[in-house]
Amino acid sequence: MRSTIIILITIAITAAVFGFGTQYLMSQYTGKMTKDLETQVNSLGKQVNELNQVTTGSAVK
Amino acid sequence: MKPIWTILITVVLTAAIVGGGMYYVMNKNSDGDESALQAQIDDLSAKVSTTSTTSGAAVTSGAAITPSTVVSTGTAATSGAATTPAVVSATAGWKTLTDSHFGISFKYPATWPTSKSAYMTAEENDLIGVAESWASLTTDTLADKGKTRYVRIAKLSDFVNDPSKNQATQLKAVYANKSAAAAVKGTMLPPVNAATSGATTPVYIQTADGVFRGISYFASIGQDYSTTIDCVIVMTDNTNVITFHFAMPSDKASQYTMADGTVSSTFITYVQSLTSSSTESLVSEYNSVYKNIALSVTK
Repeated sequence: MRSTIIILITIAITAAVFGFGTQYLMSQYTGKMTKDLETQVNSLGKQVNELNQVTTGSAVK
Repeated sequence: MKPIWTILITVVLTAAIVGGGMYYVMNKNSDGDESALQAQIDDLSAKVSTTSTTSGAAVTSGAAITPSTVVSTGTAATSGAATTPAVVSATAGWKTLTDSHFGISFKYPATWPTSKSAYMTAEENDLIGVAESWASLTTDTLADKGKTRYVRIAKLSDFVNDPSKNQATQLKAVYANKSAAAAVKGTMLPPVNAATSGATTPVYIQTADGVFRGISYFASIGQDYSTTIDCVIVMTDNTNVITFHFAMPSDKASQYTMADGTVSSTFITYVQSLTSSSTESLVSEYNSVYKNIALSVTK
Protein backbone atom coordinates (compact mmCIF):
# COMPACT_ATOMS: atom_id res chain seq x y z
CA MET A 1 0.00 0.00 0.00
CA ARG A 2 2.74 2.39 0.97
CA SER A 3 4.82 1.60 -2.10
CA THR A 4 1.80 2.18 -4.34
CA ILE A 5 1.31 5.63 -2.87
CA ILE A 6 5.00 6.40 -3.39
CA ILE A 7 4.80 5.32 -7.02
CA LEU A 8 1.67 7.40 -7.62
CA ILE A 9 3.28 10.46 -6.05
CA THR A 10 6.40 9.85 -8.14
CA ILE A 11 4.30 9.61 -11.32
CA ALA A 12 2.45 12.83 -10.46
CA ILE A 13 5.62 14.78 -9.74
CA THR A 14 7.46 13.42 -12.79
CA ALA A 15 4.49 14.10 -15.06
CA ALA A 16 4.16 17.63 -13.77
CA VAL A 17 7.87 18.38 -14.10
CA PHE A 18 8.32 16.88 -17.56
CA GLY A 19 4.93 18.03 -18.81
CA PHE A 20 5.36 21.68 -17.89
CA GLY A 21 9.09 21.55 -18.64
CA THR A 22 8.53 20.28 -22.17
CA GLN A 23 5.72 22.75 -22.75
CA TYR A 24 7.90 25.65 -21.60
CA LEU A 25 10.86 24.65 -23.76
CA MET A 26 8.69 24.04 -26.80
CA SER A 27 6.86 27.34 -26.41
CA GLN A 28 10.19 29.13 -26.21
CA TYR A 29 11.34 27.43 -29.40
CA THR A 30 8.11 27.82 -31.36
CA GLY A 31 7.67 31.39 -30.13
CA LYS A 32 11.06 32.35 -31.54
CA MET A 33 10.39 30.50 -34.78
CA THR A 34 6.98 32.14 -35.19
CA LYS A 35 8.44 35.57 -34.46
CA ASP A 36 11.14 35.05 -37.08
CA LEU A 37 8.57 33.98 -39.65
CA GLU A 38 6.27 36.90 -38.80
CA THR A 39 9.20 39.26 -39.21
CA GLN A 40 9.80 37.80 -42.65
CA VAL A 41 6.10 38.14 -43.53
CA ASN A 42 6.09 41.76 -42.39
CA SER A 43 9.26 42.52 -44.28
CA LEU A 44 7.96 40.92 -47.47
CA GLY A 45 4.56 42.60 -47.08
CA LYS A 46 6.33 45.94 -46.76
CA GLN A 47 8.42 45.19 -49.85
CA VAL A 48 5.29 44.33 -51.85
CA ASN A 49 3.64 47.55 -50.70
CA GLU A 50 6.67 49.66 -51.59
CA LEU A 51 7.05 47.99 -54.97
CA ASN A 52 3.39 48.51 -55.72
CA GLN A 53 3.60 52.16 -54.77
CA VAL A 54 6.59 52.55 -57.08
CA THR A 55 4.86 50.67 -59.89
CA THR A 56 1.55 52.45 -59.49
CA GLY A 57 3.32 55.77 -59.25
CA SER A 58 5.14 55.13 -62.50
CA ALA A 59 1.81 54.39 -64.16
CA VAL A 60 0.41 57.81 -63.41
CA LYS A 61 2.06 60.14 -65.88
CA MET B 1 12.72 -5.58 -6.85
CA LYS B 2 14.00 -2.86 -4.62
CA PRO B 3 11.71 0.16 -4.20
CA ILE B 4 14.40 2.49 -5.54
CA TRP B 5 14.42 0.66 -8.90
CA THR B 6 10.66 0.72 -9.03
CA ILE B 7 10.68 4.48 -8.51
CA LEU B 8 13.42 5.03 -11.08
CA ILE B 9 11.64 2.97 -13.73
CA THR B 10 8.40 4.81 -12.95
CA VAL B 11 10.12 8.17 -13.31
CA VAL B 12 11.71 7.22 -16.64
CA LEU B 13 8.49 5.78 -18.07
CA THR B 14 6.38 8.73 -16.90
CA ALA B 15 8.92 11.23 -18.21
CA ALA B 16 9.04 9.49 -21.57
CA ILE B 17 5.29 9.26 -21.90
CA VAL B 18 4.41 12.76 -20.65
CA GLY B 19 7.41 14.53 -22.19
CA GLY B 20 7.07 12.70 -25.49
CA GLY B 21 3.35 13.24 -25.61
CA MET B 22 3.67 16.94 -24.86
CA TYR B 23 6.41 17.30 -27.47
CA TYR B 24 4.26 15.56 -30.09
CA VAL B 25 1.18 17.70 -29.40
CA MET B 26 3.04 21.01 -29.37
CA ASN B 27 5.13 20.12 -32.39
CA LYS B 28 2.00 19.23 -34.31
CA ASN B 29 0.37 22.55 -33.42
CA SER B 30 3.43 24.58 -34.30
CA ASP B 31 3.75 22.76 -37.62
CA GLY B 32 0.36 24.15 -38.61
CA ASP B 33 1.35 27.71 -37.71
CA GLU B 34 4.71 27.31 -39.40
CA SER B 35 3.11 26.01 -42.57
CA ALA B 36 0.62 28.89 -42.66
CA LEU B 37 3.35 31.47 -42.18
CA GLN B 38 5.63 29.74 -44.67
CA ALA B 39 2.80 29.78 -47.21
CA GLN B 40 2.41 33.53 -46.62
CA ILE B 41 6.15 33.98 -47.10
CA ASP B 42 6.13 31.98 -50.33
CA ASP B 43 3.14 33.95 -51.60
CA LEU B 44 4.69 37.29 -50.71
CA SER B 45 8.05 36.29 -52.17
CA ALA B 46 6.32 35.44 -55.42
CA LYS B 47 4.56 38.82 -55.37
CA VAL B 48 7.83 40.64 -54.71
CA SER B 49 9.45 38.76 -57.56
CA THR B 50 6.55 39.39 -59.92
CA THR B 51 6.24 43.07 -59.03
CA SER B 52 9.98 43.62 -59.30
CA THR B 53 10.00 42.03 -62.75
CA THR B 54 6.96 44.02 -63.80
CA SER B 55 8.44 47.28 -62.56
CA GLY B 56 11.65 46.55 -64.37
CA ALA B 57 9.83 45.88 -67.64
CA ALA B 58 7.95 49.16 -67.40
CA VAL B 59 11.14 51.10 -66.73
CA THR B 60 13.07 49.39 -69.51
CA SER B 61 10.44 49.97 -72.13
CA GLY B 62 9.68 53.45 -70.95
CA ALA B 63 6.04 52.56 -71.13
CA ALA B 64 3.66 54.18 -68.74
CA ILE B 65 1.78 51.15 -67.61
CA THR B 66 1.83 47.90 -65.72
CA PRO B 67 0.41 48.99 -62.42
CA SER B 68 -0.05 46.21 -59.96
CA THR B 69 -3.37 44.77 -59.00
CA VAL B 70 -2.37 45.15 -55.38
CA VAL B 71 -2.54 48.43 -53.56
CA SER B 72 -1.03 49.54 -50.33
CA THR B 73 -3.13 50.42 -47.35
CA GLY B 74 -0.22 51.45 -45.17
CA THR B 75 2.45 49.69 -43.24
CA ALA B 76 2.18 46.11 -42.21
CA ALA B 77 0.13 45.60 -39.08
CA THR B 78 1.84 44.01 -36.16
CA SER B 79 0.15 42.25 -33.29
CA GLY B 80 0.86 39.52 -30.89
CA ALA B 81 -1.12 37.12 -32.99
CA ALA B 82 -0.35 36.02 -36.51
CA THR B 83 0.51 39.02 -38.63
CA THR B 84 -1.52 39.99 -41.65
CA PRO B 85 0.39 42.08 -44.15
CA ALA B 86 -1.45 45.26 -45.09
CA VAL B 87 -1.81 44.33 -48.74
CA VAL B 88 -5.29 44.53 -50.16
CA SER B 89 -6.11 43.50 -53.67
CA ALA B 90 -7.71 46.18 -55.80
CA THR B 91 -10.06 43.49 -57.03
CA ALA B 92 -10.95 42.13 -53.58
CA GLY B 93 -14.62 41.22 -53.44
CA TRP B 94 -15.02 41.36 -57.21
CA LYS B 95 -16.77 38.66 -59.20
CA THR B 96 -14.98 36.46 -61.71
CA LEU B 97 -16.31 35.93 -65.21
CA THR B 98 -14.96 32.95 -67.10
CA ASP B 99 -15.56 32.45 -70.78
CA SER B 100 -16.19 28.72 -71.15
CA HIS B 101 -15.21 28.63 -74.82
CA PHE B 102 -11.86 30.40 -74.55
CA GLY B 103 -11.15 29.52 -70.92
CA ILE B 104 -10.27 33.12 -70.18
CA SER B 105 -11.24 34.69 -66.86
CA PHE B 106 -11.23 38.20 -65.53
CA LYS B 107 -12.60 40.00 -62.50
CA TYR B 108 -15.12 42.79 -62.47
CA PRO B 109 -16.88 44.82 -59.74
CA ALA B 110 -19.47 42.78 -57.89
CA THR B 111 -22.09 45.48 -58.44
CA TRP B 112 -21.96 45.07 -62.21
CA PRO B 113 -24.65 42.77 -63.57
CA THR B 114 -23.63 40.66 -66.54
CA SER B 115 -25.51 39.39 -69.50
CA LYS B 116 -24.67 37.70 -72.73
CA SER B 117 -25.63 40.32 -75.22
CA ALA B 118 -27.46 39.54 -78.41
CA TYR B 119 -25.94 42.67 -79.89
CA MET B 120 -23.39 40.82 -81.98
CA THR B 121 -25.61 39.40 -84.68
CA ALA B 122 -24.76 36.56 -87.00
CA GLU B 123 -24.45 39.05 -89.82
CA GLU B 124 -21.81 41.03 -87.96
CA ASN B 125 -20.00 37.84 -87.04
CA ASP B 126 -19.89 36.95 -90.73
CA LEU B 127 -18.67 40.40 -91.57
CA ILE B 128 -15.91 40.26 -89.01
CA GLY B 129 -15.20 36.65 -89.74
CA VAL B 130 -14.26 35.49 -86.29
CA ALA B 131 -15.53 32.97 -83.81
CA GLU B 132 -16.35 35.43 -81.14
CA SER B 133 -17.44 35.36 -77.57
CA TRP B 134 -19.40 38.31 -76.36
CA ALA B 135 -19.77 39.05 -72.71
CA SER B 136 -21.53 42.33 -72.24
CA LEU B 137 -21.22 43.93 -68.85
CA THR B 138 -24.19 46.23 -68.58
CA THR B 139 -26.00 48.02 -65.87
CA ASP B 140 -29.32 49.76 -65.73
CA THR B 141 -28.90 51.46 -62.41
CA LEU B 142 -29.64 55.17 -62.55
CA ALA B 143 -26.19 56.11 -61.31
CA ASP B 144 -24.58 54.29 -64.20
CA LYS B 145 -26.96 55.57 -66.84
CA GLY B 146 -25.18 56.06 -70.11
CA LYS B 147 -22.21 53.84 -69.30
CA THR B 148 -21.29 51.08 -71.70
CA ARG B 149 -19.08 48.15 -70.87
CA TYR B 150 -18.19 45.53 -73.44
CA VAL B 151 -15.84 42.58 -73.39
CA ARG B 152 -15.04 40.63 -76.50
CA ILE B 153 -12.87 37.55 -76.76
CA ALA B 154 -11.65 35.96 -79.97
CA LYS B 155 -8.77 34.03 -81.52
CA LEU B 156 -5.98 36.20 -82.91
CA SER B 157 -5.62 33.80 -85.83
CA ASP B 158 -9.22 34.48 -86.85
CA PHE B 159 -8.18 37.92 -88.04
CA VAL B 160 -5.51 36.79 -90.46
CA ASN B 161 -7.74 36.80 -93.57
CA ASP B 162 -10.04 39.66 -92.74
CA PRO B 163 -9.73 43.44 -93.00
CA SER B 164 -8.31 43.54 -89.48
CA LYS B 165 -5.19 41.62 -90.49
CA ASN B 166 -3.07 44.73 -90.10
CA GLN B 167 -4.34 45.34 -86.58
CA ALA B 168 -3.73 41.71 -85.67
CA THR B 169 -0.14 42.05 -86.89
CA GLN B 170 0.29 45.20 -84.82
CA LEU B 171 -1.06 43.51 -81.72
CA LYS B 172 1.28 40.53 -82.24
CA ALA B 173 4.19 42.98 -82.46
CA VAL B 174 3.05 44.61 -79.21
CA TYR B 175 3.05 41.17 -77.61
CA ALA B 176 6.48 40.28 -78.96
CA ASN B 177 8.17 43.62 -78.21
CA LYS B 178 6.41 44.31 -74.92
CA SER B 179 5.93 47.83 -76.19
CA ALA B 180 3.05 49.80 -77.64
CA ALA B 181 5.33 51.31 -80.27
CA ALA B 182 3.96 49.07 -83.03
CA ALA B 183 0.34 49.92 -82.34
CA VAL B 184 -1.34 52.70 -84.21
CA LYS B 185 -4.11 54.85 -82.82
CA GLY B 186 -7.45 53.12 -82.83
CA THR B 187 -6.22 49.52 -82.84
CA MET B 188 -9.24 47.55 -81.75
CA LEU B 189 -9.66 43.82 -82.04
CA PRO B 190 -12.27 42.58 -82.65
CA PRO B 191 -13.14 45.63 -84.75
CA VAL B 192 -16.33 47.57 -84.22
CA ASN B 193 -18.71 48.83 -86.80
CA ALA B 194 -18.05 52.41 -85.80
CA ALA B 195 -15.53 55.14 -86.44
CA THR B 196 -12.66 55.76 -84.04
CA SER B 197 -11.61 59.37 -83.79
CA GLY B 198 -9.59 61.46 -81.39
CA ALA B 199 -7.66 58.49 -80.03
CA THR B 200 -4.71 59.00 -77.71
CA THR B 201 -1.35 57.36 -78.37
CA PRO B 202 -1.66 53.75 -77.14
CA VAL B 203 0.28 52.85 -74.01
CA TYR B 204 1.58 49.41 -73.16
CA ILE B 205 -0.15 47.28 -70.53
CA GLN B 206 0.47 43.75 -69.28
CA THR B 207 -0.85 41.49 -66.57
CA ALA B 208 1.30 40.94 -63.50
CA ASP B 209 2.47 37.59 -64.84
CA GLY B 210 3.09 39.08 -68.28
CA VAL B 211 0.96 36.45 -70.04
CA PHE B 212 -1.52 38.93 -71.49
CA ARG B 213 0.00 42.03 -73.08
CA GLY B 214 -1.48 44.82 -75.08
CA ILE B 215 -2.43 48.43 -75.28
CA SER B 216 -4.85 50.90 -73.78
CA TYR B 217 -6.00 54.24 -75.04
CA PHE B 218 -8.77 56.78 -74.76
CA ALA B 219 -10.81 57.73 -77.80
CA SER B 220 -14.07 58.92 -79.17
CA ILE B 221 -15.78 55.98 -80.84
CA GLY B 222 -19.22 55.90 -82.33
CA GLN B 223 -21.30 55.69 -85.45
CA ASP B 224 -22.46 59.21 -84.73
CA TYR B 225 -19.98 61.80 -83.56
CA SER B 226 -20.79 62.58 -79.93
CA THR B 227 -19.20 63.83 -76.72
CA THR B 228 -18.87 60.31 -75.40
CA ILE B 229 -15.40 59.20 -74.35
CA ASP B 230 -14.26 55.61 -74.76
CA CYS B 231 -11.54 53.61 -73.07
CA VAL B 232 -10.23 50.65 -75.04
CA ILE B 233 -7.90 47.98 -73.73
CA VAL B 234 -6.78 45.22 -76.10
CA MET B 235 -4.68 42.35 -74.79
CA THR B 236 -3.40 39.08 -76.19
CA ASP B 237 -1.53 36.02 -75.01
CA ASN B 238 -0.42 35.56 -78.64
CA THR B 239 -3.29 33.13 -79.21
CA ASN B 240 -6.41 34.83 -77.95
CA VAL B 241 -7.36 38.46 -77.97
CA ILE B 242 -9.54 40.10 -75.36
CA THR B 243 -10.88 43.59 -75.88
CA PHE B 244 -12.41 45.75 -73.18
CA HIS B 245 -14.41 48.73 -74.30
CA PHE B 246 -15.83 51.18 -71.80
CA ALA B 247 -17.68 54.35 -72.70
CA MET B 248 -19.47 57.15 -70.92
CA PRO B 249 -20.43 60.76 -71.57
CA SER B 250 -17.62 63.26 -71.10
CA ASP B 251 -17.71 65.52 -68.06
CA LYS B 252 -17.09 68.35 -70.54
CA ALA B 253 -20.02 67.37 -72.79
CA SER B 254 -21.81 70.70 -72.36
CA GLN B 255 -18.60 72.62 -73.04
CA TYR B 256 -18.07 70.90 -76.40
CA THR B 257 -21.70 70.85 -77.52
CA MET B 258 -22.56 73.66 -79.92
CA ALA B 259 -25.72 75.72 -79.73
CA ASP B 260 -27.25 73.72 -82.59
CA GLY B 261 -26.58 70.45 -80.79
CA THR B 262 -23.60 69.40 -82.88
CA VAL B 263 -20.21 68.56 -81.38
CA SER B 264 -17.39 71.08 -81.52
CA SER B 265 -14.43 70.04 -83.65
CA THR B 266 -12.17 70.86 -80.70
CA PHE B 267 -13.60 67.85 -78.85
CA ILE B 268 -11.25 65.58 -80.80
CA THR B 269 -8.29 67.69 -79.68
CA TYR B 270 -9.54 67.44 -76.11
CA VAL B 271 -9.85 63.63 -76.31
CA GLN B 272 -6.36 63.38 -77.80
CA SER B 273 -4.97 65.33 -74.85
CA LEU B 274 -6.27 62.88 -72.26
CA THR B 275 -3.78 61.02 -70.07
CA SER B 276 -4.18 58.67 -67.15
CA SER B 277 -3.97 61.68 -64.82
CA SER B 278 -6.63 63.78 -66.53
CA THR B 279 -9.64 64.91 -64.54
CA GLU B 280 -12.39 63.08 -66.37
CA SER B 281 -14.78 60.53 -64.87
CA LEU B 282 -13.88 57.90 -67.45
CA VAL B 283 -10.16 58.35 -66.73
CA SER B 284 -10.87 58.09 -63.03
CA GLU B 285 -12.75 54.83 -63.60
CA TYR B 286 -9.91 53.63 -65.82
CA ASN B 287 -7.44 54.07 -62.96
CA SER B 288 -9.63 52.51 -60.29
CA VAL B 289 -11.63 49.91 -62.21
CA TYR B 290 -11.03 49.31 -65.93
CA LYS B 291 -7.26 48.95 -65.61
CA ASN B 292 -7.67 46.44 -62.78
CA ILE B 293 -10.20 44.44 -64.79
CA ALA B 294 -7.69 44.16 -67.63
CA LEU B 295 -4.85 43.29 -65.28
CA SER B 296 -6.91 40.48 -63.74
CA VAL B 297 -7.14 38.56 -67.03
CA THR B 298 -5.94 34.98 -66.68
CA LYS B 299 -6.18 31.79 -68.66
